[in-house]
Amino acid sequence: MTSLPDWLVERAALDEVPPASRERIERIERAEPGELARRVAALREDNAAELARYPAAPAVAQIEARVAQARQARRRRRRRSWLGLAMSAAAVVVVVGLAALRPAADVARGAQDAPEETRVKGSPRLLAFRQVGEQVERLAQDAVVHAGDVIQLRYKAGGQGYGVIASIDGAGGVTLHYPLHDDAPPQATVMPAETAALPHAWALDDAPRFERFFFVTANDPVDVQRTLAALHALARRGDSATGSLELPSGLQQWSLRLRKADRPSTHESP
Amino acid sequence: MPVDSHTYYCTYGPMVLRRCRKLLGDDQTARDAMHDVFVQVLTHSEELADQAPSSLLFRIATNVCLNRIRSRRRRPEDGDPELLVQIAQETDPAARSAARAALDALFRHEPEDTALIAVLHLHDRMTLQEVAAEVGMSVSGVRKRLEKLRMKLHALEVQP
Repeated sequence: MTSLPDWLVERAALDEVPPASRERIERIERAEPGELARRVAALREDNAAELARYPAAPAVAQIEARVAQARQARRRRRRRSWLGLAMSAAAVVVVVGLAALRPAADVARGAQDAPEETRVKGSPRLLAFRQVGEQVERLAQDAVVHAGDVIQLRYKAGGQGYGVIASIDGAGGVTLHYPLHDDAPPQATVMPAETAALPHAWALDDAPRFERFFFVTANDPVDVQRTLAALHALARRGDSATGSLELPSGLQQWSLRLRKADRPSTHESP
Repeated sequence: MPVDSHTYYCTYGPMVLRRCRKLLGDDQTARDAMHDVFVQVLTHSEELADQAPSSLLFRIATNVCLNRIRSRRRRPEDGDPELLVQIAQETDPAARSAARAALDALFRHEPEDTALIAVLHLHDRMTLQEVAAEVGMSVSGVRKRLEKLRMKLHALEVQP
């Protein structure tokens, strides 16, 4: 068996062997003359075949579109944090100023003055679409779906800065859709300001009865693991098709339920 | 550093795809992961240093795949995370029988790059020096991380 690890052959094929590996590669070349050249040639052939089979242009276009989206989200986050900082600074000035001006008598009833509620413009929304051949069909609450149907979700956070999107099914399964990974930190739950689509559509599995999507939103970063725990707890309950998630205060939840038909789909998958 | 996406993809795409395929197994999942890698790198292209990109792409590809393996552990249709089982076994061959059960506990609360270090050393057979150069740590730092992982696995073994 060759002692050349794949990653080192990859680096050699790209002429990017790191300094820490040069001695190792020389040693291998002495011990197994011609082996490196043979494997580099094979890799280059594989590269050419891959790019012929899957031309780069469509993939690069998709990647560039996602990069543009990601950069826009970054710019928005930066603006939001600067705005937050500016507002905090302004709030400190106002509060300090008001405290200085406030007559002593007013302080006694201060606790009764509830702060004005901040109203959210619009409300968070989760929309589901089913791909039927070339067409896309919007799915309303309790729409009947089938195993194999291809579903795409669109969402709007309605002015709330953070959110988690996940689903539970009639078999007690829980699937996280946003953010992508269940070990994601709270900061990864940041939501775009505009309506956005999840990057991937997916085919429904054969779990029975229903697929129920939850959109959990907040003004502050959301604890993904805690939210998933609430979803798992609900998925195990008898009222999982209708019940609510038990979430800490400050989090809001919306759900969209799709009913599962007993028979398989007649829709043609792409 | 200005990066031409098309050239970058043609030069490094196949290498990234092979890496993802090796770690994830499934071709379609590997292609999705490859896209994620390029999105991550190109989103921050202005911060890229003008040096061999293969090392950076390899590292990001490994992290993207490890994250996918972690998140699919609770999705039964994707099967077992064979790669992490292999790491657990190679960290201590005697722990073979306990490896599967110990995986979650092994990597839980560990810094993300500990799993990366373990993959590079135990799966890719990089030397400690090569791993250190790859992740930008000292050799002794890498050795300590691996030693800690071994000790953690032993501790998990003796738990009832």
